[in-house]
Amino acid sequence: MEQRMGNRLTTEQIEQATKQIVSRISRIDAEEFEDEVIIREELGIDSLMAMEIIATCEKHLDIQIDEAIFGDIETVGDFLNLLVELYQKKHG
Amino acid sequence: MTSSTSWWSFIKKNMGKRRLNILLISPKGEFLCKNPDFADFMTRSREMRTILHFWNGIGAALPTIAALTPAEHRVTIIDENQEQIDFENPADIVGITAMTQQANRAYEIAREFRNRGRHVAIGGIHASVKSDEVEQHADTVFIGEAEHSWPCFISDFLQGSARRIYDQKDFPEVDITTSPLPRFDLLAKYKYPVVYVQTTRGCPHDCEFCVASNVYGKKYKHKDVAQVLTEIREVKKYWKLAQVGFADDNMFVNRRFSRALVDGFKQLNFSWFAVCDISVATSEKFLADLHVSGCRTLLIGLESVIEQNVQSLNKDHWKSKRFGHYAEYIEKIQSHGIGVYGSFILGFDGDNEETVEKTISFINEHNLLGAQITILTPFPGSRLRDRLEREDRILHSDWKWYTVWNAVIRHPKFSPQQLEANLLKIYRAIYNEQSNKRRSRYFREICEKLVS
Repeated sequence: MEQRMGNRLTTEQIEQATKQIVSRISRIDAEEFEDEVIIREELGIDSLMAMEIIATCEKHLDIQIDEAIFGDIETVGDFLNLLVELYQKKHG
Repeated sequence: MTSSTSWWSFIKKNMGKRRLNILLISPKGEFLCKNPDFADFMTRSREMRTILHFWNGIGAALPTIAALTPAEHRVTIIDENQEQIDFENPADIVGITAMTQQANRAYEIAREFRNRGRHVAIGGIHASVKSDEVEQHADTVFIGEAEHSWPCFISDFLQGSARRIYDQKDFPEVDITTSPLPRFDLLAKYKYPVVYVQTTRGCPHDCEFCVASNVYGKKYKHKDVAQVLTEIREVKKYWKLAQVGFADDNMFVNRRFSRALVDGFKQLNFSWFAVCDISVATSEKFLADLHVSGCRTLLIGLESVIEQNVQSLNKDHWKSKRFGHYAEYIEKIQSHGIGVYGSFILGFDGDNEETVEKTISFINEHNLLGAQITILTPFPGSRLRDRLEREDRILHSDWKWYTVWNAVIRHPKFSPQQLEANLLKIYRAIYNEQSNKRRSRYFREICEKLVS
């Protein structure tokens, strides 16, 4: 976990790490994750995969994600923005 | 002719030189409930929209038929759910595949093309079990698997001697390890969320309501591991975002083959789901391997939460012997990060108001990722249809009502309207904000354990 090493992640690093996690769990090449791609319909992320993504992102970025908020997320860009916001709120 | 190989040599030798224009069509089907309240729920519920979204694929039949067509001919596939049909297409042959839900539309399409002088061939599950009916709408009807009969038909057609009926039972047994790589390239024009691949055919359980055993026989057969992996690579070449859905009726029956297959899947990087029976839960190692290989969801035919209903389903009582383990097995599967979509049927003779409540409780208490509940439907070709016909309990034989969400049978305790209303009651009780939240919390805990 980057935070434990005392390194605050940049926005770009958060986005990169998130894309890698989503890619690993959905098994879709991260290059396909354009901001406007719709998470459920286009990436086929169902509710179970979403929980796995949430749990992994929480652990990796040391943040808390409310699954109800995730339910309102439509696109990859929205998800990246949410994680950047949560990370910055927690880690300054 | 004694073997598949000698059969193929015979066909190849007899193929003519004329280049045919062949149009293969998957018609729109009657997949939506005609009850207005239910239809309204389906459009409003995110979970129901998700189910419909993932049904929005095409089976493995047409790309396989295309691959069985000699390369010198031009083949086009039209999925009517994706694209309108041009009835002015100057095809030499129009091939239509149809399940019962698609039969009426298949006949309309056939009529349009036959009016324009095209030779129309119809195959698929409905033609296999209702060939007498289908024969009235087509020039040629295919019964059963088409690995041998389709190339034979092309050869006959070129010689001007196409038959009315091609029945697999008149050909050598189909060995699907020799089936060619399906022509997925012909479907690449469509943006499917799920692309279906077939690895096995048949199911040994022979449930009373199911048609599969009648079409494929009770013998279970499978492709080679390498053959399936090649098909998956081909799918991922054209659909980088799509999940792979396995079109098998019951995927893991041959466990030795399944283990080798799942080991092979680990070499690839793809997410997939399949239909199987509850016995998948008996091996922790296999469940762990499934998750590692990219399996995220299993649709499992649990059929009913009432033991009496399950007892009479299979002649060998396969399902009733496992009924007492349903809860334990579901928990085991889901603890590996694989969601269970339980498939349940409402309308067995033993069902009453209590069944409705018990079904809701079971699905919610055991935190099933999802459930597909349908109304008992006597599809042609099933033992169920034979029985209900004898008992004079079939209300409609117009296939437009065979959506599986409309009641077409006379039930001892429920009117058709009550069956449909209770189906909707179950869906509303399992797919709402409160139960979604509970389910999310449950799976979140599982995932937290898996990533820790």
